Amino acid sequence: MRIVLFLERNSFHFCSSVLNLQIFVPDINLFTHLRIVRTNTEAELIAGIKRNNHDSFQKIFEKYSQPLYSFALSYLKSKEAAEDVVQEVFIKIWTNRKTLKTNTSFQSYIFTIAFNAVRKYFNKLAKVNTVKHDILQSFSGNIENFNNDSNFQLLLDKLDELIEQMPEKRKQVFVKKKIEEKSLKEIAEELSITPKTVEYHITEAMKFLKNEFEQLNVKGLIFFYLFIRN
Amino acid sequence: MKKNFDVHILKRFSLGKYSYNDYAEVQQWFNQTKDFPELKKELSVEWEKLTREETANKESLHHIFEKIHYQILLDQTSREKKFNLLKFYRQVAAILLIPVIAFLLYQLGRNEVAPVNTGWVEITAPEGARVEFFLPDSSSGWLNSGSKLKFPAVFEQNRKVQLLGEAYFNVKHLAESDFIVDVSDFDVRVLGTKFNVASYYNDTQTEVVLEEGRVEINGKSGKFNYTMTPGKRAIFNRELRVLNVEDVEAERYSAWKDGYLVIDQEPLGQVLSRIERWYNAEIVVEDETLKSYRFKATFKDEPLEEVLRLIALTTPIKYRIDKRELDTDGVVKKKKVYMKLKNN
Repeated sequence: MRIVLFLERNSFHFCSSVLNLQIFVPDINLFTHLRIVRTNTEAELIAGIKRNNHDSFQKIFEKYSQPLYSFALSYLKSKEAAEDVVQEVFIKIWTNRKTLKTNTSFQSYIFTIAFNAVRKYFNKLAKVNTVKHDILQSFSGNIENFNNDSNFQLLLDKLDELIEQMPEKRKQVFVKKKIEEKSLKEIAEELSITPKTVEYHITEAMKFLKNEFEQLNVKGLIFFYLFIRN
Repeated sequence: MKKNFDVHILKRFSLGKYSYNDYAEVQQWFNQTKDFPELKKELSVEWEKLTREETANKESLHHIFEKIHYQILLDQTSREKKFNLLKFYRQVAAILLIPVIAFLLYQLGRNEVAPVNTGWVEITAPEGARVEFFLPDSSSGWLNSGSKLKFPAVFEQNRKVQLLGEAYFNVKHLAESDFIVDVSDFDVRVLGTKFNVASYYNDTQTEVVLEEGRVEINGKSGKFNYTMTPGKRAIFNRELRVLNVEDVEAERYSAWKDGYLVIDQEPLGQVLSRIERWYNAEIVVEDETLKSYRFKATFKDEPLEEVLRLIALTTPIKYRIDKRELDTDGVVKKKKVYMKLKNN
């Protein structure tokens, strides 16, 4: 069993990374006392977190961050969103550390927070995914087949990849128009270009995407019933 | 659309092989979790499975932890600042109350009054953190890792503060009142200005870099007296007890307050003591020759591992980071890094 000793003086914790900012008023007696904390089982780590122990917090992070990341990733399909979930969950654990319970299952406590966070991000991403679906569908010859094809994730990833390949200005215009669904006028003002130029970029971007997807289709990298029309 | 929960669809979705129609279903369940309690149940089963799995050789999530830690420290500072300001005002109020009572007593034609007991305020920035501070005269500044600043809760005629370590000051000019920074080797007398002072007890020198305005450096025993102009760096060598002055780019010396770690053609020996404080780590150099290697780099918000990795990329240096150990008293030690020459 490992023993960690930590000192407490006033409210002054000598934890390596705790930030202290405090006012000393003369004539106040500084009293010092020692406490012995054993850090081994999960319950003990939780108790450590409750006492502001950053090392316990880090150990809990090391234990749960990886499963949490995989969990979030499998429902959000976005590395950034999954990282955000991990961050949000652990900040919540730290913020609510005083109310943590050592006698109930910590694993299911994390699940409750994680589930809500995943749900929140899922709904946020749903809007963007619907918009992306509409773009992809517009290239498709057979809408019903398209909606039933099990490669939707592959197409979403491909779309993101192709958007990244566009020239900077075109990418900006395309994302603002098609993903954020802003009006021509708004975009023209934001980027200080004429609405005509905005339109031009959109047409070119759509042409580029269509062309790329068609090629993938020809190469057999994507299913066949896309682009039967035209 | 069907109004049923289908675990197969959810499985397909989580594995990434799904159709848009599948997605539309899953979306509905996530959107109305109350109507589909099966979703939460199924996810909790998945979660349990994941926590039981071995998670070896996956990409490190340490950078997320660094972010979380940073966020926590930020929240904590702002909260403690608020809390302490309240305390500070209470203290000021208490001090102001004494003369009021004294006056009343005097009015009653009675006793003399006990002397006023002014408090000192002390701000500490632990290693690995930087703290912004505000003084009662609305001067402000930043305190670097492992530094301490002490000042009276209420300034008297002259504003005098004591510094141990490094701080950046933005001093408000007051015609009637000098601002003096007291470091171990000398006093810095200021007239409304921006400047950086570094005086760590374990360094061999104390330095002042002036960004704007004018400051005067007065030796403790009246040994020297030097007036600085902007863009100058004054270095006091503690061993030789002499003051040297050079021309520098002043902003570089205060870039730390904005979170930049700037290294400009400095020998490793000097750089390391800064990195040690910055990251609250201990670095052991195993080959003395390494200390003379020079570097140029600027880091912002990079974790220690990344900084070391970049240094090792550009120089023939090998390093390893030890697990944080407990010493004999059971206190967690600092992170320890060993550096040595790559032999090829």
